[in-house]
Amino acid sequence: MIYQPDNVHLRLVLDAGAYDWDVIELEGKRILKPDVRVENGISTLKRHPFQSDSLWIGIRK
Amino acid sequence: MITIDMERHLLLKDRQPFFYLADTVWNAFVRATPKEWETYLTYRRSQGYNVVRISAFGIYNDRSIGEDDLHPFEFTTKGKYDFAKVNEAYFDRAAEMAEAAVHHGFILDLTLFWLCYVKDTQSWPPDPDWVIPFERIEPLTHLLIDRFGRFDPIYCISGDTNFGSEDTIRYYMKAFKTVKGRVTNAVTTMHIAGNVPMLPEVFMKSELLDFVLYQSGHDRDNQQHAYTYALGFLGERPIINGEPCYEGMHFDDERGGHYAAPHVRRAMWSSLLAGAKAGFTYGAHGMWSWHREDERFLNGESLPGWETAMRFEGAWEAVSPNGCSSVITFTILNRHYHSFKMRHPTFVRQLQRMPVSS
Repeated sequence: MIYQPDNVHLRLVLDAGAYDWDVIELEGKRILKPDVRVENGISTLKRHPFQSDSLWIGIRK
Repeated sequence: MITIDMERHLLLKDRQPFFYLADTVWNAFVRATPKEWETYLTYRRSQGYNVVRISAFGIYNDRSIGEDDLHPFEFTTKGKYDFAKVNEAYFDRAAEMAEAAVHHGFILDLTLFWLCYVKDTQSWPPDPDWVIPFERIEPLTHLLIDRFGRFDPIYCISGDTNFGSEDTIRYYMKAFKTVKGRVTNAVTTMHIAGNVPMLPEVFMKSELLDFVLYQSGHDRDNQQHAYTYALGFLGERPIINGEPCYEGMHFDDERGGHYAAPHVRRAMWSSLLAGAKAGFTYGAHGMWSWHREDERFLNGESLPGWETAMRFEGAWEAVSPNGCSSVITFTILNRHYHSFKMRHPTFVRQLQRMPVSS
């Protein structure tokens, strides 16, 4: 679970591909499936289309 | 009754994990009428809040002023509290309010000694005539136990305090020992000022302190304290952000504006996911002082009335039902506690070493 106060690309030192991700846009409480890419052990959670802060919830597959 | 799970760093109620979701009404005992109090309790409980934070003797140095206020003590000829002369009517009404809160399902978080009543704190304006003589700390602590002990409150020993001298510590330690010496299974904590990142070692090492409340506070340029303070306290005890930015409060600088729901939300999630996961405290400006629209606020600032403040949008942020409530998060963190505990500090350090993404 990650709280993202601003909408930016986020890079993580973990295999985010091993998780199913949902992003909750906390202003309007909308939910989407994010664009997650993994390369050489580094995961990039791409910016989402919303303006507000967001909560990323990853559940291990 | 609240107890502590020291292994998982949680509060328990009836032996089940309990997410402390508090609202701030420091001056309710001084100012709220029974009818107002019932309106308030009904509304906040319907939102899912389960703790009310109240200063036992009110906050005299920072308050709204009304003609019908009740005071915990009689006044001296200098217009200050006479701490030897208790106003029984105040405590009768306060006990009725506490009983009503418990009846609605709230836990009472009773703050015993606000900083203005304790020696060598940064109370503003500084006024030694408001300081309780040290020898009155023990009997006044007994008074509060006598009046409120039957409601099984959380005993919050200090209010908004810093620790200016050894005397300050002596005051609070006396209150701690009095509570713990008399009340079996009393749960205790301390509420500290926004510029105090860590409790004095004597408290952190003491078994008298059960859980930590820190204050990320109202300084616009230090809102990162929501998570930096939480990280600093990671260790032995449950942690809660006890005073994030108050919704509706003006920024304390010349740039204008005020805290709104997104600021509260940011403070909440930053706190919870940094390790302050045992609960969260909400505060609305005007609500904490129980302000009324036509009354004066001691420190000059204009405040919204309590009925307006009670309905601020940010109060819903902690309890939003669409899958992102703090309570649901608490459940998830609790379920996956061990992996969360081990990963988090490492994860933060890794983030700090990473280059900024293009």
